[in-house]
Amino acid sequence: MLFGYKGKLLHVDLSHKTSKSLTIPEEILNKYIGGRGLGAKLYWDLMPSDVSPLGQNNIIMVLTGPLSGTIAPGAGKHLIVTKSPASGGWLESYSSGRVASELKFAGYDGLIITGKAKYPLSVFINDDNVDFLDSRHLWGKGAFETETYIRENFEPECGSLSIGPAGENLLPFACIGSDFFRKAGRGGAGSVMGSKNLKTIAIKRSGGISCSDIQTLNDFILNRKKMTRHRFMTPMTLSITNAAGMLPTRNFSKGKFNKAIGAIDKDAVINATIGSRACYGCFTGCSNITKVKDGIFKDLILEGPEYETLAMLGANLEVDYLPAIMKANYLCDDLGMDTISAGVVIGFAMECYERGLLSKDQTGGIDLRFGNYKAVLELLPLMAHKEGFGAFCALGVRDMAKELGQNSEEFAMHSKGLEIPAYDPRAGWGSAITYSVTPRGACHRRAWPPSVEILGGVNPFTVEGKAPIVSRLMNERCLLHTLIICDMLGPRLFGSMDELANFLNIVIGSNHTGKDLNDRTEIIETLIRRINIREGFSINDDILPKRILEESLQNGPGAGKIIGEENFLKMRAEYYINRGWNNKGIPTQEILNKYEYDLEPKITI
Amino acid sequence: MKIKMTLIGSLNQRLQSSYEIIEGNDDNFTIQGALDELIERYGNPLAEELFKDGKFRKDLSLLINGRNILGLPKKFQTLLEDEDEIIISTYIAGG
Repeated sequence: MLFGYKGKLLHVDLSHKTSKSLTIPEEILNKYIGGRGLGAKLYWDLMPSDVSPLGQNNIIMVLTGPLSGTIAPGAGKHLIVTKSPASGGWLESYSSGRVASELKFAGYDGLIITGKAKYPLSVFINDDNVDFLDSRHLWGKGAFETETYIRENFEPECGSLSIGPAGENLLPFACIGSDFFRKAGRGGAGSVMGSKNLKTIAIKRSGGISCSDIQTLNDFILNRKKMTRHRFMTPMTLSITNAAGMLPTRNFSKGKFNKAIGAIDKDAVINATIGSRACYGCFTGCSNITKVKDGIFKDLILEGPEYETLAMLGANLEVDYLPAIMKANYLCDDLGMDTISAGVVIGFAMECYERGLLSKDQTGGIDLRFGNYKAVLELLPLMAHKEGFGAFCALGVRDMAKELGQNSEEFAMHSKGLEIPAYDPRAGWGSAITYSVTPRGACHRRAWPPSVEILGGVNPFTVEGKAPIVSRLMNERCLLHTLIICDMLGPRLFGSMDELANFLNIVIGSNHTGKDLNDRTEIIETLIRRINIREGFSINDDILPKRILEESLQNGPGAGKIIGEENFLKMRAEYYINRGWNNKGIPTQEILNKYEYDLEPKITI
Repeated sequence: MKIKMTLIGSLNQRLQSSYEIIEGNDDNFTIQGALDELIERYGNPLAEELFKDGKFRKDLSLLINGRNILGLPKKFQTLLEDEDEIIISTYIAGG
């Protein structure tokens, strides 16, 4: 077994309150590496067919990578894999904290959870001991109180995963929290835990992990010390997207929010910053700890807000009051809701309200005009508890539009049921491919085309050549997510896949090259495509709302430019071909033979 | 004409405020001219952050009214207009 791996998974059966260790064949670890790749293989082999995302037969996995637990920078993250309550298909959701390292030190490369507990409980993993503790007294509590309880009654420095009321109430955008403010946010993984009556997982370890060449790894880190001054504060992104006309504003009807300047941008966040925080083992503390210094939210302290939250609970709702966004961020984190989806849901509701599709009677008296931050703060807890008008919003934007009708689906901003994040594709057409084809739904982390279309010299408003660019960006991200290296720091640390391969070899003692790792990303992307096809997805699901394809932005460099269905279909078709799939996005027999899926050992539990 | 220049990331530490207003005196004021004016204001420490071996650093991005300069035909010789906005950013990772 290579360094960095334990070669074992822990299977926890909530129905019977049992646990057992599973061996991962080395052949599988060699082919799929870890993280996203291993998650794809496990989902393919283990997920029963026709499973309801909120049914007891859904499986939820917590996975590590080969660098987890080592001093490799950017490796302090874990991955959740399950069937998504938002889309009904593949879900991968990443977060940070001590979970991955503690799991590795406890002796496992990952955790597989099946079944459903008879009543709310928590799973405590202490090396080889697995305890199932009655947690009915925690049910209904926010994520912060829950995690505080765990740290006071189990272990102060454990790795922990918790849900809040949103997960208990099965919202499609409920998240799983760790280290208080870190969230596996997208796609509703928190509701999968909630559907299983699983309130918390806590992991404490006594073991460790070894590296193949610790001296070279040490030198690598010391030689990059000066990077510690480069804090990749995500609020900086708002200035870029706002200038580029890419900042979702007023439910994606505009791409610029002039009131953001100085009010909810990096300068405003810096003014509110009282400290910084790093992920476990990372040398860049890129997360801000902020405090409201005056006003009605005085003394509120939180980690954040990050760019997506500033955009979706700020600009997208035309809220220009940073303390209110901070309060909304805090509420979402404690209630256990994804801030991106919450912002898109409220933005949709606001547009419906202003169009007269929703009356004040229907909103329970809440004045849902854009800019009314008090309405946002009133609505968030109602959503998490499915009370009043919040019950309607808790459906998520796709199902809200289905229920409301009246052509509202044209401005219901989602793909595959996952709400669109804060980069409007009309200001950079590459994101139109990304949002439509990424397997979990509209996702900005599987590839980030603004890196080349806005920060680089690629023309944002062309079709030609976009699909190969997006494919390359997706492969690079796939590798980072398979190794589980932070995709904020990773591109800065490693200029190429060859550099990543060399780094991996230093840590785990392997002989990888950039090319063979890139080949693996193609295998993984196609396997995940097969997963979604098995789940019933087709080309008809790789789509975008009418607003994105047929309306133009009103301001910014993209003003007056329309992507158009023809251009979109052309880019999408070219992406399929790049992957070795047919014109309906189905992997060809030729590519299946090439990737030798049928020759692999099958993992069973 | 007045041009707003914003430096993002660690570059901003070289400025005295979150942005600078650069004034151009004639109709042939270019992006290069605005950069020259900014460097004249802040000297070699800023010049070293922005240029390497006489060329604009490859790890920086310069946007003019939201468009990357690399995508414009005249690049640094692009003529400016009153109230244009230039943003120079270090590496950002999205978020």
